[in-house]
Amino acid sequence: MKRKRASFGALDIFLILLVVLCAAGVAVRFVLTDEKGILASTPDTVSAAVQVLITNVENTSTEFFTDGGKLRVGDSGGEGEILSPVSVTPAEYIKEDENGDLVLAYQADENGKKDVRCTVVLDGFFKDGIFLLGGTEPIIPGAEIKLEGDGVVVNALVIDSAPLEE
Amino acid sequence: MREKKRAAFTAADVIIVVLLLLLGFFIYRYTFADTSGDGAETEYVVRVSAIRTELSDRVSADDEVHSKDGEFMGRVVSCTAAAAIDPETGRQLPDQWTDLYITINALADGDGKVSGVKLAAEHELELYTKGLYFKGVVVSVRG
Repeated sequence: MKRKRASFGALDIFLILLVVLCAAGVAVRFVLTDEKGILASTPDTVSAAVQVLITNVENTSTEFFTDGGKLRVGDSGGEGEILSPVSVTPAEYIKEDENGDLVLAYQADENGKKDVRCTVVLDGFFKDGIFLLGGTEPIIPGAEIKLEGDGVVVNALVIDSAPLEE
Repeated sequence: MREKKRAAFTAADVIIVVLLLLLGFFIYRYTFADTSGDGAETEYVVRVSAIRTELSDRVSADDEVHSKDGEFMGRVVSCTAAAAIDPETGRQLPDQWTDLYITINALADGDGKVSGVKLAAEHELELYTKGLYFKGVVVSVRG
């Protein structure tokens, strides 16, 4: 008996094309356009001026926060440079006044703890108005970041972040 | 007279039809379908205790709110500042600190979750908008 030869019709070609197109669609969506994909749209890297407040540091540690000083940010690996002016003031604290109310006070001792305000220049990009350090870590007012210099590690409160004006 | 050949309906045809239906569904689902009404509308209020007053004006109505993992948690309806109260002693803090009450509108799923987060009073949240990163406690949920 003669065996019927399998035919390869237009429908088969259409089916294969459909499957290939689906696979290509998945590849484009999940492989090529992700953060490292060749079709990923990564904005240009910009420098941002990030104003930070560091509270309650030892008087002797303030020497690490000077114009041009280098700082690393947390685990992100981002590195920044301090811009002048750097403001060093007696540290704020809360005390009770004679009426029993809580009021703001400042360290009176000249060698007491200090608050430091400075601006750090960091590289990243802005996405939807949010500065992303290294493209991933959001640096937004209110966020706490760890700053590491040569010989000092502090937690800093982000007060502001804006594109650096050349 | 030659017998008319009957059209065969093979497994390949079934696959093609199923794939075409799926394709049509996904195109509709991710392009034309209005999914904004999925879920139940929920309004929740987050109290941010003792934030520095200089940061108290960074939240605006209609700002998008995200969790620290980047999940969408709704949009700001309003943000009200009030005198900061020390949560432990109940005493008023100096003017340099402020409490914020941020009302957020979101769509919750059937379990009352927004982006997988169950919203309930006393739940602690870490959220951010484009202007402020904040940690707060849910004080009320409506909807």
